[in-house]
Amino acid sequence: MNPDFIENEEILYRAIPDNPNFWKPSFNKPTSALFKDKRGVSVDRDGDRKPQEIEIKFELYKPGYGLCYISACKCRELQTYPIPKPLEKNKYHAEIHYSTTKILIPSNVARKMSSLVITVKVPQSYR
Amino acid sequence: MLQIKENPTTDILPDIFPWSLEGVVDAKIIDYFQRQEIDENHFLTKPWPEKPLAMGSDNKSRINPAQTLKKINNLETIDEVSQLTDNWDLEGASAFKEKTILNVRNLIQNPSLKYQPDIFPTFRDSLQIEYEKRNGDYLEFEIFENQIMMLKIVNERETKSLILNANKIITTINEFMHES
Repeated sequence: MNPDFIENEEILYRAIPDNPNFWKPSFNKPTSALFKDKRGVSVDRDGDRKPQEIEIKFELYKPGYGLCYISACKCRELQTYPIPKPLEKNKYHAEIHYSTTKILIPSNVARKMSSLVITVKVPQSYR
Repeated sequence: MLQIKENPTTDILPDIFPWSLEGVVDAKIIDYFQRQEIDENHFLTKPWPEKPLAMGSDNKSRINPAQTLKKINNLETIDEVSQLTDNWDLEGASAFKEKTILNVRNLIQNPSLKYQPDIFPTFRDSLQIEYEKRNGDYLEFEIFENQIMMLKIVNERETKSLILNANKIITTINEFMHES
């Protein structure tokens, strides 16, 4: 895993809170509000880990949350900018920004992102 | 005597509900009334606190039970969001400002709002209300403390704008919901 650059084929995982709700059961996808974050959209890189390992880690730190993912390639197709943001306790941490200078993702892009993500696990209330 | 049904379907609710509380009543609605300190006698002496939704071919004033239930769910969501404290997402998100909450509550309680939306918080100090159709058409208002941003997608055509007038929101919603 390159600490300075996220390759196109990398997978980025985003947790879906259970309470408050971010899930749209009628459409089986998260709301675009999940991708509206003033600090940048916080994600975890797969970092060559097995999906099960990632799922277990999220369940450990964020029990009851749902989980979805999007590839870095798709992020770039949406004209967004995934960047590595490793933390002391999480070397896989990354963020999705709108550009090199703007953090906030516009509503229409957040909407597209919510339609493109693949859901691994729905939030607990909807299981 | 109230009959409480745990999992009602809207088609068996009396269509004059909730003025007539003698029929099958959703437990959730009763619970909400109780928490708001409104008892069943309230409706024997006072009208429903808002203009009812007109529905049906006879054009009588009736409310739509499904929309009423959704409205109650939405008010509960707003209550829950208003109680979130700093770091509610475990990653440092801020609590929501009273004005933002009030803006959304006022919209949801507006008697002219015929269609209740889905409501979600964002991580940028705003609440989002949205309507989505099976054909992909989509209407969203992102409500901040001092501004409202709209995103409308109809036939894959996007429109974004800043909303300055709350009445414009209602008009836009009603138009959107009537578009095929």
